[in-house]
Amino acid sequence: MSSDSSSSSSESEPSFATVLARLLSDRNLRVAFIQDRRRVYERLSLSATLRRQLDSLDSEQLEQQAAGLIRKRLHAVRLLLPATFERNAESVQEVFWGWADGFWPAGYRRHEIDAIEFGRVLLHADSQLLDRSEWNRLRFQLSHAWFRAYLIRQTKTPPKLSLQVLVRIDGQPRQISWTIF
Amino acid sequence: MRRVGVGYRTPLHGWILRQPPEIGCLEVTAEHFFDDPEAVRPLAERFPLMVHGLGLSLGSPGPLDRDTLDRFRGIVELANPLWISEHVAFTRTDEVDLGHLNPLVPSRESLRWVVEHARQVADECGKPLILENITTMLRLEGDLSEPEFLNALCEEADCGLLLDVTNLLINSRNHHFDPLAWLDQLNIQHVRQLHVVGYTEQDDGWRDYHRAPISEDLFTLVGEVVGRGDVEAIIIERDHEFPPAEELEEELRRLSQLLNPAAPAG
Repeated sequence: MSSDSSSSSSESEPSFATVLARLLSDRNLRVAFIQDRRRVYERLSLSATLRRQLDSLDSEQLEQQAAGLIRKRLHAVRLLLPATFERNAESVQEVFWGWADGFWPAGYRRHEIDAIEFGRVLLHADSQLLDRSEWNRLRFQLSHAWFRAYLIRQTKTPPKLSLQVLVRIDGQPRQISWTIF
Repeated sequence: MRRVGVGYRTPLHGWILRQPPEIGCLEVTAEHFFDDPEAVRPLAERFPLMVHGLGLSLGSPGPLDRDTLDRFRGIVELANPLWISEHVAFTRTDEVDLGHLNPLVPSRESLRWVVEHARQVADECGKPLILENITTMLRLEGDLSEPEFLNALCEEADCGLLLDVTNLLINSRNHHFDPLAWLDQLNIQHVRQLHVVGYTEQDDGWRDYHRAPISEDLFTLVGEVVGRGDVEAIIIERDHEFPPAEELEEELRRLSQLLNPAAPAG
């Protein structure tokens, strides 16, 4: 099986790994592939060799592998935003599964980047879902800032406002919070 | 010397630094120290270390990511490990970082990239390299079986194998093959280290969530592997839902007995 595109005759053709990665990361492409592989081959202008290789992929296994990647990301994000998930795990997970396919963070900080970006998505979907305090701490941790202050409306009865102050001391992030009223 | 140990994880820090006699070695995941490499030093002062990579993506066509390799090498220099390890897998392409391990086609053409990258990593780090088998829900067919692929990889890249016994068992159940027949095809002399941790059984298959205690079938499979070859180390790769220290210590004692059957128990 060809796993690279180094030869001049296949310069424009992606490698098998590249196509597999596309299928694993793009739900729409994967669905199209499972429904009609020939059409996807035409769309991607794949060689006969690559088509034979892809013909051997089991659709159910492909879906399971793709779901496994999202599930592992979800687990990592949950560890970074535990209070958010504790509030309303079902709704938060639903938002994650609907969103994750379109955003793939890169690098060794990918889990933190994932959690921060997901926080923005939750704010947009329903601001009540996100625990802003922990999201702010995570953003601060990844930043180079030495000071940040946020007013947070806590969802209690009666509602309270908190001042969350984040500082960096000896390179380590620290939080100081006061409830205002 | 044959050793057993654990993968270093922050929740285990206090227990590990107390240096219980059951811990004979420690495996550190390089990426966990990229933000604070010096944190490896106190571990290196107390334990023989192995450095385990997650993100080098040896199976990706094209050059390795230079930044990741440089950071990895930096951890290796500080840790001075017995050996270094990575996976027979790819995690990223030029277009996307999938973030987790994905299978390679077991073919001579896939082999070329992994061999080239394995040699590069070993050369740049100046340490022996061993490579780990992964779990996968997606089984890829090629002109080699998985054991044949691993044998060829070890011979051509001059590297060893990190046999993840849990991954082997999970794959054998999800893809319906006999793990002992798989082992029969493997050149067991390449196996230098084992990984083991409890698996999770779900409705749609078996999973490697690294959060369960080691079950009897896994201890049996570890014993089978150890009996066939010359394994030097076993690492418990627990990542979540950590049990009390006594339970991990008991697992380590059992693994140590398997690895060193002539030694007195306890």
